[in-house]
Amino acid sequence: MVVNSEAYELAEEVLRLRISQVLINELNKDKRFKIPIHLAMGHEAIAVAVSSVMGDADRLLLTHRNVHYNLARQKSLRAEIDEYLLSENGLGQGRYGAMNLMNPSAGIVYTSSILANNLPVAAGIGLAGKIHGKDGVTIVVTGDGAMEEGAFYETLVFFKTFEIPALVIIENNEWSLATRISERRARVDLKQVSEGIGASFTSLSGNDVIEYRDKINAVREDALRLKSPCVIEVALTTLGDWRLINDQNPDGKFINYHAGVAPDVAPSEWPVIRESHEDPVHVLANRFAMSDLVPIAERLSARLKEDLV
Amino acid sequence: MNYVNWVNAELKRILPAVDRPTVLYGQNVAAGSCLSGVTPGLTSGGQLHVFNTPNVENTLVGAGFGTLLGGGNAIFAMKQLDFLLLGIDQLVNTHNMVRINEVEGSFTILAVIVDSGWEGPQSRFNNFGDICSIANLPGYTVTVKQDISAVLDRHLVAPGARIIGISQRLFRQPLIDLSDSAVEYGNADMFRYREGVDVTIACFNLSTPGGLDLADELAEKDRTASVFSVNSQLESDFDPILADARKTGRLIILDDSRSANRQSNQLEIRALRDSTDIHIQAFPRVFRNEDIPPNADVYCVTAEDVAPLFG
Repeated sequence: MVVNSEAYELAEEVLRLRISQVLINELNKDKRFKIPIHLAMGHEAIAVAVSSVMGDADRLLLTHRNVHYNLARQKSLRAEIDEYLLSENGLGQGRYGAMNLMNPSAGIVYTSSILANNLPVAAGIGLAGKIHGKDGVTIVVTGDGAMEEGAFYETLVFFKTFEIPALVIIENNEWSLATRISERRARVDLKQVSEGIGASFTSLSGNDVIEYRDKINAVREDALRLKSPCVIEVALTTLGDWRLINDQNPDGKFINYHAGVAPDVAPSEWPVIRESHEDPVHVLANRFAMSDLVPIAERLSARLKEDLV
Repeated sequence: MNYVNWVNAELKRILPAVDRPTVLYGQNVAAGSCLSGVTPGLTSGGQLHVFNTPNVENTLVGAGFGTLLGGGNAIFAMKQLDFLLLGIDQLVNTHNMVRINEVEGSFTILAVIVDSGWEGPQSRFNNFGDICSIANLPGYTVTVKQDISAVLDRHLVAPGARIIGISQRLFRQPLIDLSDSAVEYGNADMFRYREGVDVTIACFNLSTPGGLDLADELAEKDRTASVFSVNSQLESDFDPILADARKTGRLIILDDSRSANRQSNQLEIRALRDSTDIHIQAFPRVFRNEDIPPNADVYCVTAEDVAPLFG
């Protein structure tokens, strides 16, 4: 197995994002935060890949579930947590909290807690870049719930009409709060929807951060060359689900993780949550030797814990 | 029994008994916590159809009006009033087409008003009066056992359209039961919950529990208060409040909304215009930039705050 140093850096980033979130989850268990926090364990590969291909002029717009991108774009867990504590030392000086956390100095120019709200704003950010003669790509992250809103379609039409290079990334975790796609709507063929508007469509799955980086990089180049929106749908699982056991559910009821504490997730030497392709940390072992990865995880864990002291 | 348990119990009492086709729909109305306890136990059967929807609020509002025009009853139950902003076009323009006709069908939006704090810059939206005002759409807040029952009984499936606003802050609070003293005015537009001789307290939006607390605090100082709750968001008849205030000589106006277009202002103007012998103290909220970051969003008026009224 030949792995270059850049690949190791990507693997280390996936681990850093995972361990950081596990530590945030521990603080949340201790009721340290008054604000709602939507963890994104299971979303690390896409965030690391997107961050790694972003150019200096690229702009990123996020949703209420943004912790993975914010951590990927800046290296301080302390600053992230201080924001959640609404401290003046936080990433946004305590003005944003979690669901609106943005960081313009790191390219995150807008974050919205409102479903699909960031899509039309992305259209405007892209337009501003165009009239200012900037070369970057507008990257907007949304989800399988938000793409149901009319704003999703409208924004694609706007991007295409005004020849704005853009990546529209749909993090598809199948869930909108407590309903699966099949419980709330007909299945939508995003490839046909995208191509009908003249936007390319790429499907990602498997949580391999290196594959994601390569594919997103190629799509980004296409967006710049074609001056067009490109839709990327990423199949992923928001990890942290648990079983509710009470009088009504003596056998346990599946609770999808949406926000707040993931009760069954705890710090460990190797921060895997699920031994399957649904967990980007587990997938790392397909490319890297565990004898290399575990020491990296241990070192990161020690450093991040120290950062919190 | 807490506040949201009672809302749920009343929905379960009223909806299965409705004798015409009725749809109850919205995101997660029949999944997970069922809107944090608003809709558990409501299932399809008989004339009632209950189903989850995709995240398409503009369409969900338009579809409600369409169901009404088609002669059915529609109830769109939703968490977080701010989601309704996506349906403003339907609320304003479609409602205008509906309201000029006599209709048999019904459309009610049952919305949770995010008055609980800590949500951050965007997901808080405690401007129920503003929404009703821009759409000229009747709206009713509910805060205690009596107004929950009365508003749902009178309006949930009544012909025409309206919004019923429930308080997220009160969800897990013990239900306030004022059955011994409640007096209803109009069509569940307004209630009087206490009758006193020293001061009249008029509560707007979701401030009634705070108004009752203030009355209790004043009682400890041997001052009795009349407490009114103004539930209707449009054009209320304030005569009972003004008549009471003329007797007590003092009027305290509480309004915990973030609306700029406040009915409580109308009461204050009426009181100033009609009655020079009423001493008035109003506690409106002002929308300031420093209130936008996540915060507890507490609205509390104490006996000390109203001490100037008593000299």
